[in-house]
Amino acid sequence: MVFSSPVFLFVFLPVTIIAYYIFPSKIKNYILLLASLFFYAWGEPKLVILMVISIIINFLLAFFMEKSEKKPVKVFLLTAACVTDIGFLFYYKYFNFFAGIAIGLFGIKTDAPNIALPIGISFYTFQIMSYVIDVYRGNVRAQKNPFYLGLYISMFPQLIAGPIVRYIDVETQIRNRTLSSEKFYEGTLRFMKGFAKKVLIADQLAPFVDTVFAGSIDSALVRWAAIISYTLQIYYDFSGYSDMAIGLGKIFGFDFVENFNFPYISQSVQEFWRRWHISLSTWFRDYVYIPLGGSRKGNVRTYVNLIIVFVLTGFWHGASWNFLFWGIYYAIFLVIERLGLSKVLSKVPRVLRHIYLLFVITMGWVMFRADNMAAALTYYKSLFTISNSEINMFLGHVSIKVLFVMAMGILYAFPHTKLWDEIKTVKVYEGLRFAVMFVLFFLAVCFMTGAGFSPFLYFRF
Amino acid sequence: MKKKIFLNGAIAMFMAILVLPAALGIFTKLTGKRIDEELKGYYTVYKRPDFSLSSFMNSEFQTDFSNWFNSKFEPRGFYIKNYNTICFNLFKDSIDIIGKDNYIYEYDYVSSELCIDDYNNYALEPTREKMDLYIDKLQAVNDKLKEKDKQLFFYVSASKADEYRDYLPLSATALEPEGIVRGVDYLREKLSETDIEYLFATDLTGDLPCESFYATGIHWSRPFEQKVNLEVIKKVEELTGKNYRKWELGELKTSPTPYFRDTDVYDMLNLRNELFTGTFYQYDTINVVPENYDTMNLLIQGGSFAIGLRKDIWDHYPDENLNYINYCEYYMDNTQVANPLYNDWNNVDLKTLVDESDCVVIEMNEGVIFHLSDGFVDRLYEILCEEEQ
Repeated sequence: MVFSSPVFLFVFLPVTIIAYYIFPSKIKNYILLLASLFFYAWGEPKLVILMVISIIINFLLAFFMEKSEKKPVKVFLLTAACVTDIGFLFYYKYFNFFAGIAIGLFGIKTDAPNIALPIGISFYTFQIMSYVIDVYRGNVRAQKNPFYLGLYISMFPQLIAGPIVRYIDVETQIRNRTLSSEKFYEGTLRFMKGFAKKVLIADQLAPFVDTVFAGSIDSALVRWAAIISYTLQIYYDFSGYSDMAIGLGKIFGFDFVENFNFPYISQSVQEFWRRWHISLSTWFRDYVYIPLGGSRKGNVRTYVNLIIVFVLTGFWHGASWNFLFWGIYYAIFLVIERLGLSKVLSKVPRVLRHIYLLFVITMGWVMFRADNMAAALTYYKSLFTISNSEINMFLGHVSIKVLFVMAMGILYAFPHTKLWDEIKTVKVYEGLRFAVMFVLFFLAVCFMTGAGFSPFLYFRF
Repeated sequence: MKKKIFLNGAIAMFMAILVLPAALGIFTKLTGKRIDEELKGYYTVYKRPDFSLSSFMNSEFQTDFSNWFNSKFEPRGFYIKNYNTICFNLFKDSIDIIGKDNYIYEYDYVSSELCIDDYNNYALEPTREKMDLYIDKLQAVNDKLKEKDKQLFFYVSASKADEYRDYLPLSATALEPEGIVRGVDYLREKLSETDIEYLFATDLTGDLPCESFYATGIHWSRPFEQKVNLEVIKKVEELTGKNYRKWELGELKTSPTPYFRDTDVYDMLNLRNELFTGTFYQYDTINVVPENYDTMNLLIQGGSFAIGLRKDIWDHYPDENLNYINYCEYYMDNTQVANPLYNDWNNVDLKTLVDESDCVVIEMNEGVIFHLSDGFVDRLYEILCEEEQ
């Protein structure tokens, strides 16, 4: 079930909110757990069992890990948990890929297996791993109630596309959280904002991007417009989803971590990764980069660690060569920046730093969006191959609607801090804020209904 | 206190949007009145699925429920009209291509007129070769039918993009390649080299009492259609030497609402603008029944324009024997039940249909020439060759 679908918006969500608020506090968690399992089962009726098995295994391993006082036992249980979690993830997400490589390398005469990818498996696997690792480290107590752990893993707002909520951040909220009109109101505002970002910007750019990436339009100008559109589409799609998840969390009394902080205003790749998919970056920082030694073991080791982290980051997004190269691509830029590019950048005007960053990001998205590396390379080539009918192709393929939505997308990708600070001083600011958000939400509902709906991009991760 | 009222009011407004479909659904169930804006046109109707564990486990229930709910909830019509109106007025954006003065076109018609896609450009050798082969087979079918004392009649229905080329938007004309040969021109050239009887509907636009296509329609206007259909029947009659019941075009009627063929303007009427405020036209017809007449036995293959021919004949004489095949989508005989073909000619007994017919009528629209009759001619050719052996 996607958030921007009538069934979610007009059936699942109101029923869940009403049931959640009608029932007494004691059973609110169970209502939310039930709703979350139903939400997941709607899309994955069979694989919901896989998630439940994963929850039970991790619950038991963490429980005994805490009970045990012997370190080797703790290490063994942690290893067992990680092997199980990564094993599930590997089997469902990466087995096809590696089997395909093996078949190609060794000439095995068999068809590549076709294992369906469970929705959101990358997200919930990382959440569950953060739980067992934190229990092992003694950062959190093991959860005594398996249903509460189940709720943490399966909570529908963030289940299928993040943010990757860590147990440590919601541990106390699961047991005890406050519900208030203020929080509900903030939640609705955030949900409406995310919904509008997804439907009014990302979904409006998607058909144009899909058409151009399908490959039949030989025009550098059109392809530049498409990759800029995709740069905006993926940001508004993913950050819109995160906004909706955070908003829904607030409606149910939770405070989830922020996942985006205007990433396209960054002036370096390092800064970009501090602002983009923050929950994933911090997960890799805390559970991979720092345990590997981080930047404490000299320059060479730091670069190696960065490469490892970004290879994994790329691979986390999908089991294909382009995601792998996409990760390596960022690792290279991060190493180059550390080798001295950062110093050079600090001396050039801000606008040039922006241009550098946006160019790097945009080129990276080509790899990310293309079906395979060959298609990506063809796309790169076509970006710099001018045909003699550029203007006509642009007029023919880039509609006024796409240009308008792109302009809105660019405008809204900046925080406009000074402007907002001034607006906030207006007496009716709060009313105005709600009115604008409500109108955008209403428009987005009209657009969702009128144009059908498209699945969230991040579902496949 | 003021703040609390504001917060609760805001939450209530948000919740109102979420529960509105349920509330309106209950109201409709209780009163039988539907509070929504009526959507014009034709839409797929979905049945509410029955829940079963097995259907849920294989995701069938979820798909069926979503389809049913998405097509049913209130106020869906209100939301869709808002969406259409915003997209149309702000961006000239719709499911169709919006041209100058709000003339609408479907993509295929525009592509074939401007040869935007290679498969529509007959200046290109691979595209020409396909057409050459098609015409060769069509000629062979014509000859073989004649040997069986049966006839072939071929007609090309008109394209709005051809008739109203000047109204095409810049976003479309900008994509026109240089040195093109349109399908309709190449087809005309090739047909002229054969002895197949054919008609190009576009040649009949001369003395029409109204536009050949309305601004907001995809198909031709009703008078144009009536004129072409009558001409097709006359030509078939000449070919077969039969004496059919026919009709004459009488007085021209007018209406502020669309007639049958004009209903595709509904695509564009699902917005709040009054796009077409003019008049729709249709000829009254007078049946002409000879004392000794022959029953029509026709096998008609084509698209929606051929549906108009079938409808006109049956509206006047419901007992005429017509077998109609829509592209390779479905087959329909006098029972008027559509039997799906699933794009596979093996799903229809074409040999029997040919045997039962005096004449095979093929309708091809300028916009879909590249379909080359969806394999119908190839299949006919195969059948007739098999018979010879």
